[in-house]
Amino acid sequence: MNCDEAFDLITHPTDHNCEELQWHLELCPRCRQMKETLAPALDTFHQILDDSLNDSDFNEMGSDLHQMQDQKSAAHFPQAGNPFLSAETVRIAEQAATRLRAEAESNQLTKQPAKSKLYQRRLMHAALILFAGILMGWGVSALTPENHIPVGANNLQKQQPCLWIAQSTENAKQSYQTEMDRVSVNNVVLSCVACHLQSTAK
Amino acid sequence: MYDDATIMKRVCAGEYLLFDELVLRYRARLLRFAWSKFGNFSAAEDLVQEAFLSAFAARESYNPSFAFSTWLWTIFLNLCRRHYKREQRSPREIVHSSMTDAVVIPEPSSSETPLEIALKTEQFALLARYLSELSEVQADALRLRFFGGMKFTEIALTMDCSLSAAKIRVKNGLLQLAHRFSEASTSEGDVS
Repeated sequence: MNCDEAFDLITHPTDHNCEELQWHLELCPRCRQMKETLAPALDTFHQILDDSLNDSDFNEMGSDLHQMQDQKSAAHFPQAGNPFLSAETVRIAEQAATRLRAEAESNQLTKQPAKSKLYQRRLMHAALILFAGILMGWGVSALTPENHIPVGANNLQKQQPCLWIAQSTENAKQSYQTEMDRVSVNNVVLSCVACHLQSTAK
Repeated sequence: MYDDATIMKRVCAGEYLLFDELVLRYRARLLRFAWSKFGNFSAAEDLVQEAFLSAFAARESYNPSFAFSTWLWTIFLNLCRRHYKREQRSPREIVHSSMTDAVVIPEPSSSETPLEIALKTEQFALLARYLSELSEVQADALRLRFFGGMKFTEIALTMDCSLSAAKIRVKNGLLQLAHRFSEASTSEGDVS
């Protein structure tokens, strides 16, 4: 409950003592202060309303609160027996109906665009989320290698090379080395032979 | 039990007697409003009757898109304002009553003693007097809130003002009333 709702309840004709309000007042010194300030007026209103005046009470209490020094007030109303209803009164009622209907319609009109705007905003959010999801998915797929080796697998390979691969690599290295050695010896022999053949020919 | 809109729909269809139900629902609240505004019970009764009659006469203009209560209160408030203006145009001296000279204490009833009724009437009269010292819009907003039992949104619609304006009227009116009651109790304490 916020302070605005608390004010609604503080000034509520019947629900002014509800638990929800009491909790709010315990927590909110501002509203507590407000209620204390308004207490003299509120208590009077609530006391009168709690007595729940009904029609019979009105009949019992039915008297003038103010004493008129003259009785001119009666002149504002038609004499007894005459109808109260006048064209002006009916016009007042019709004007009130027209105004209220216009306000109700304008409220509906303002609510409808608000609803459509909310719908559009939701759609936009959904589209954005979808687009972001597609982008993320595309990015991930671009970064991931074709053969899906687990991330830790490469490290493991570096730390503990597979025995068979290591052995074959070692053999390959050795064979390459012997081949290179053989090639180099042949080259030396050939170069020697070439030199010596030239010298003997001369 | 039908709601107000349904009753009005049926009244418009020709079931005129159902309108009595609406009168029973709202009469006491309207009476309390007018009585506290004008202090004259017979004038209050006449205004209430006039409001119901005009609502009945203009029943075809009622539309369920707005609440019957708001419509009735709007009619009633306009009638009260018209009456108030007429009173202002032909001013007369109003002497606020004391219990001795104005309020007729009724015969004892089974539920309440004459003293209780007298105290209740006195309290109501005092409140009505302090309300009359406020500006008309503030006093009307307070009457609609407490005597009419209306929500702030309904008060705003009835008084043709914004929601915040309705709340401010009630709040400022209550502040002034509280100040007035405090002053009165202080002065009473000084006298005693």
